[in-house]
This record gives sequence, C-alpha cells and structure tokens, in this order.
Amino acid sequence: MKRWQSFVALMAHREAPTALAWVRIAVGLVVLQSFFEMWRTDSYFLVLSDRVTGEGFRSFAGTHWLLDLVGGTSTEGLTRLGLLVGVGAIATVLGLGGPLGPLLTLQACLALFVIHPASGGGHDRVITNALWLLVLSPASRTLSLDSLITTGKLQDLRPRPAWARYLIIVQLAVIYGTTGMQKLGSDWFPWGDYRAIYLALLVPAWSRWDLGALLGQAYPLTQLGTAVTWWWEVTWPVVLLAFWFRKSREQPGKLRAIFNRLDLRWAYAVIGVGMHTTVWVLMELGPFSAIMLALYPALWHPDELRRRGG
Amino acid sequence: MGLSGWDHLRAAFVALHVAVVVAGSIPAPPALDTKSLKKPEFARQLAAWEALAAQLGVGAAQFREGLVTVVKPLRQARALVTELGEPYARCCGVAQGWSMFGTLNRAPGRVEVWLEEGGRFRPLTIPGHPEATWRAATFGSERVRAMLNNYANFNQPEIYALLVDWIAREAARDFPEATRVRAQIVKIEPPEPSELARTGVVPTAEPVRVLYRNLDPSQ
Repeated sequence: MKRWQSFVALMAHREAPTALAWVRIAVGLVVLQSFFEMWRTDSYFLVLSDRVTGEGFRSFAGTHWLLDLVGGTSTEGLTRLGLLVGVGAIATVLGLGGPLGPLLTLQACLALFVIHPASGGGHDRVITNALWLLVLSPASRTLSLDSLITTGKLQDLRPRPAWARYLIIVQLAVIYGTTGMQKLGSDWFPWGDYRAIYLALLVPAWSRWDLGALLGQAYPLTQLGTAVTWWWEVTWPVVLLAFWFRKSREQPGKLRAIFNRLDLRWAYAVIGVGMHTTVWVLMELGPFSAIMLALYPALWHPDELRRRGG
Repeated sequence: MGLSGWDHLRAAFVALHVAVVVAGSIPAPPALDTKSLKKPEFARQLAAWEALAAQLGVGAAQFREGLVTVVKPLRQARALVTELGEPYARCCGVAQGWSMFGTLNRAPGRVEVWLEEGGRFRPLTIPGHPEATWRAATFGSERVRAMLNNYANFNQPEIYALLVDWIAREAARDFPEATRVRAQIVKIEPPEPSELARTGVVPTAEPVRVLYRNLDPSQ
C-alpha cells in the first residue's frame, strides 16, 4: 500500500513542461520531415494509393475510421490525409490548440500507417507512441503559441503534471531494452564474431552507400560497434534505475551514491547520439534516428534544461 | 501532500499504460515447435545456442527443455496482456514491436530493373549502381526500399508482379522507344570481411524471379 501511495505521489508530481515542449517540437518536425520526404521522392502515392482510384500499383485491405472518412486510398483521399498530417504536425510544432495538434497528427498517421505496413518500420510505432504521450501531456503549455495567446509570453513555466515525461523515459528504456533482448542472432555475440553490423551494412535495402573495400577494411570497427550497440541497448533499463536513485537521493546506499555521482544518463545519451548519427550516415532507415533522438530532451528535468540554457 | 481520487485514477492509468507497453515489447519467442524448427535460420541459431550450452555442460535436450519451460508461460502471459490491451494499443497508437536486426539476413537481395532498347538490355535502376539511376529518388526512398526488401526476400510475389506492371507503364511513358523491361531479384552473398577488403566486390547470385513486360506507350 505504501508503495502504491509513493507511485501515486510520483505520478502527481508537477514541474515546468519545458522538456515536454522540446519533445513536442522535435516530434512535430520529424513527422513533417518524414512526410515531406515522401512527397519529395514521389513515393507517397506510389506506396499508399490504390492502383485503380489512385496512382499506386496495388490495392489495400487495411482500414481506419479516418481513412474511410477522407475517401480511402484514392488520390483525393490520400491528399486530404496528407493535409491533415501537415496541419496537425504544424500545430504540434507551434504548440497551437493544446493536445488537438498531436491528436490529429496521431490519428492521421495511424490511418496512413495501416495502409501498407510492409513499407513502414519500427519508427512508425515510435512516432505514434510519442504523439499519444504528447496528447496526454501539457507539452503545449510553454514554448508555444498557446502560451503566447494565454499569457502574452512564449514561456509559461508554471508547474504542470510531469508523468508524461516519465512515460517517455520508460518508452525509451522499453524500446532500447527489448530491441537488445531481441538481438539473439549469433552475429551479435563473440561466437558469431560480432558480425551483425558488418552484415547489416551489406543489406541493399538499408545501406545508404556501397562502401566496397572500405567496409571490409573497417571490419574491426563494425565489430566494436556491434558489441557496444548490444550492451548499450540491453542495459538501457539501468537508466530507469538511475532516475529512481536521483529521485531518492536522500536515502542511503553505496550503489545509489555511485549512480548519482556518475549520472549515467549522460553516458547513455552520448552513446545514443553517436549511434543514431552513425546509423543515419551509413543506413537509410527513414526517420528512425530522428524520432528516437526527438525523445531525448525528456531525459532532463526542466530545471536542468534551464540551467543549460534551454 | 494529500492525494485525491483523481491522483489514484491517473496512477492506475499510467500503470495500465506501462503494462500494455511492456507486454507488447517483450519479444514473442518462437514456440519451439516443429514448424519453427523447420526454418533453416531458426535451426541454425538454435544450434549455435546449443553449442554454447554444451560448452557449459548442458546437453541439447536439457537446454531445449529449459527453454520450453521459460518460453511457454512467457508466451501465454504476453498473449494475455497484449490481447487485453489491444483495443487501447490500436486506437491510441501504443502498439510495440522492435526487432531491429535481431537476426541478420544472410541472403539479402535487391530488385533490379533493366530496359530493352534496340534489342539490348541496359540497367535502368539498380541500388548503388552509378548509371542505373532511373527514378532513383523514388526507389531509394526508405518506404520503397522497405517494400522492395520484402519482395527481395521472396515475400508477396503477386504484389511484386503488380509493381513490375507499374514499372512497365512508367518506363513506357519515359522511354517511348524502348520495347521491354526486365525485373529481377539478385541475391547477394556476403563475403568474408578480408575478402571484401581485398576485392571490394560483393558477390551476387544468378538473378531469380525474372519478369518481363512488353512496353506499350499508349497505356
């Protein structure tokens, strides 16, 4: 019962919504960029529209209430849906209309992602998860037009519920931790010669460049990358422990003291930025790196962000 | 601080949300049944783990028995929570699933398109080819790549055929003099790193799933 009370109290905690606002802006920009990319490469209608009523090459069975409402996978229907994504994402970035921007973007994205799942990836799920947490959060209360309209200032640092930020941190730990757990192929381990990244860079669908001999020469680096990636991912839930130790820093314990002295968040975040940047340079995985990094501001308390100029 | 009923309700919602997220993310291990064991890659990976277990003094039968003991209840618990949470996950976009490169594809492939002009085929679009760059932005975009990867792994052959129809229509428009297109899947054979460092060449197998389409500019 006492643990439940502590949990309820933790979920009732309030703080300035600055970190959530940065996540909101970043997620909105990632959605915009992702859909702009589909328009720029002429792949939007090819991948998603129907072969008879649209400009695609096949028909689809997937359905969603919003997709039905806008006219399905016809050119007109997808144009309307694309506009809804655009309007919702712009409102999300600007922080206009409270949770309506993320909600509209979320439902429009869900409608689009249901059409042709084989053309998507894990990043689509990260996007929808992030948008739902933004719907539930007070992310548009600061660094937003909403704030400007209601208070006359761009920033409104009055404390708001913080639990959505905690859920974003949990989501990060879950994504990385379980991704690591799924990497059971021998190529991720010493007995497979740490060959996973080398092999991944040879998959034509994902490699951004034909690296040729350079890839063979850089094999030791790919082995190091394989080992670091696996350990970094699978141990990510430790970051949750680090947060708990920070929250309960007044309590005794050697492990708590060590964690609080080291501040593991920085180690995990720095490796994460390095890993996602490398992935982005070497592989074409769509908005995967960007949407993951968009969640990183949630790792810092608003006071920390303020101290660092955020 | 006094906690209200709303605070308790909020905490309960957060707990349920986390339960759905965590259950959905836990890897769904294969059932270790005959169907799974027939898959070559699965059998290869299982053999690698059994070899490791043998080094630790655990026999193959004992290892599999232990695995079933862990996997079966895990699958059941996961199925229960994900089933209960499915409506929430579907409506609110909190579905999970992150198997990024869990097991590496040792026989990846690419879709190539060739164009026949004057009785000779020339490469029209091939990933990474310096000259075969027709609609390179489209075929190089991530969502199209994901789709092509699916076909290169021999999934959905009937949809692959529809894509080739579409390619033929577009090629006929862009190259009115051309007579045919040929689409094919070429599997690559990952070389040893030392070999790649020496030659710089990734060997490929003979094309398969080769489809021809006559071009009709009037379509």
